[in-house]
Amino acid sequence: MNGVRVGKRVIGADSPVTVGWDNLPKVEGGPFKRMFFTYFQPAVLLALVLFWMYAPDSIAKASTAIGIGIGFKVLLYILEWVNPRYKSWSLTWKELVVDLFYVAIAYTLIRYLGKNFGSDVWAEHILKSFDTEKFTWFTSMPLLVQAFLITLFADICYYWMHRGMHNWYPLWLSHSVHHYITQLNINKGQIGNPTEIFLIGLGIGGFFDFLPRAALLAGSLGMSISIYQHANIRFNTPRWWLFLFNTTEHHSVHHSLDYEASRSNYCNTYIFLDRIFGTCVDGEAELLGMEGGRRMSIPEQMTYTFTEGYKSSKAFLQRRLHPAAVPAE
Amino acid sequence: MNLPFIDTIWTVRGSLALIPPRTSAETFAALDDQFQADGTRTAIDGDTLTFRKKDPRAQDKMAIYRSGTLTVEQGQTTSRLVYAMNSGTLLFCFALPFFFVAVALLLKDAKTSGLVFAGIFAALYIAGRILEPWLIRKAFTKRLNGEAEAPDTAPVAARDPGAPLQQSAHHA
Ligand SMILES: [Zn+2]
Repeated sequence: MNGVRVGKRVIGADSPVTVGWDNLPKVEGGPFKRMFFTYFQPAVLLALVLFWMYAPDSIAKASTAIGIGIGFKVLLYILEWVNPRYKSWSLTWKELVVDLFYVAIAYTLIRYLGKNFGSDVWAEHILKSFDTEKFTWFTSMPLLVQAFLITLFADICYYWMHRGMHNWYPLWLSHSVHHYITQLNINKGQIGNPTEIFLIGLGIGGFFDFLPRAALLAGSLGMSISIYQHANIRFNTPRWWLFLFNTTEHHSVHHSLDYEASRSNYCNTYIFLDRIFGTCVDGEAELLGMEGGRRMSIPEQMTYTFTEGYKSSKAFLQRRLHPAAVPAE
Repeated sequence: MNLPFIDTIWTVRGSLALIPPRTSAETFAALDDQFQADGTRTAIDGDTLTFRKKDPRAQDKMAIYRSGTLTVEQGQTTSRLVYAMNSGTLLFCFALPFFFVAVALLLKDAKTSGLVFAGIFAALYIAGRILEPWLIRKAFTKRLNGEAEAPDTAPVAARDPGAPLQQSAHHA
């Protein structure tokens, strides 16, 4: 395979990757279907922004956000079934069980740990030592600007954390498990070694609890853009959306079996961060995973980070202590 | 303690008549593609095929099964395939409601979410316990008897009345 040159890099030399917006397949079907899958993403974003900006306080609560989140996921499941991106990513009963197991762990155990030992706790402590009056410069800005800045700050943190995970071996041990997934569905974002969720998922959420409306708006802004990144739905994503936002097209490139392709599109929400930092590849990929697409069992997903970490630190120590005793591989 | 049916939780059993009657060698040859998958090993000993799977691909049609045996039984003029297969995924899904009920009881912050997920996994288990045996039966039937259903499940009227039995079986 030759691959395609993107900047200084060659993408698709190990495994096929479609590069370029013009080469992406289009939604097939009648005019209504094509229109629906062209404007769905922007319409949902607009609706949610308007809702969180103008809904009265009696409705605009965290519980409403959770309800909308669940209802929206159900809708996306239906869209995956109606208009899949790839047949080879079809949801099976086993995949659904495994996906939902991770979702359930995130909603119960991980949330419990986060509340009691994670970022929520130290964010609270740090915020207590601050004078909230010092934030008036921020809270006096328009709500949408506040929400955008929150998501932008969160995404810059995410971008560098994620890029670090791909470049520093101890962090990669934690993140690599997520890269063993071989197909995308909306719940695949949850799949990985639990240590990763502490590194990436519990990041900075707790810091914005003192800005209830802006934080809710930021949450739904982030959700209505980044939720699609793992979705197996074929969209005619508008060009301006592809330019600004992370999409399932971009994220499938990041999950590609192709090594160079997987080292791109690190953002969670704003793909323009990848454009600015020079890691964006526009395109999509069907063949995903690591080690030729080997599938990991749940026990291996749970333990891989620790067993691999133990193996490589042992090998490292052996090389240090007895350089001659280790046979060359 | 005697629990004769407890392995029904994770075991899928079934049998289907082979039309026309086949030898075990012919039967296993027809099923060969079904077992050509990454991480799958098979061994044939006379009339019995044993298989074992490790980390099957997501789209592997038998991904839920860990191991199993398929036996061809010969009657006077008929033959049938009898199978029993173990599924780690079915057992895992069966255990999940208990696990999340325990989580709901032990962690005070996870009471509602724990119970909701316990309910979801209980429903998923029942769905999978019905769906997966049906899917594998359909797959075996298609490979062995063509499109026609095995007679012990399909009504006779469903068959093309004009075509002789033997031909309709080879059809497809
Ligand atoms: Zn990654």
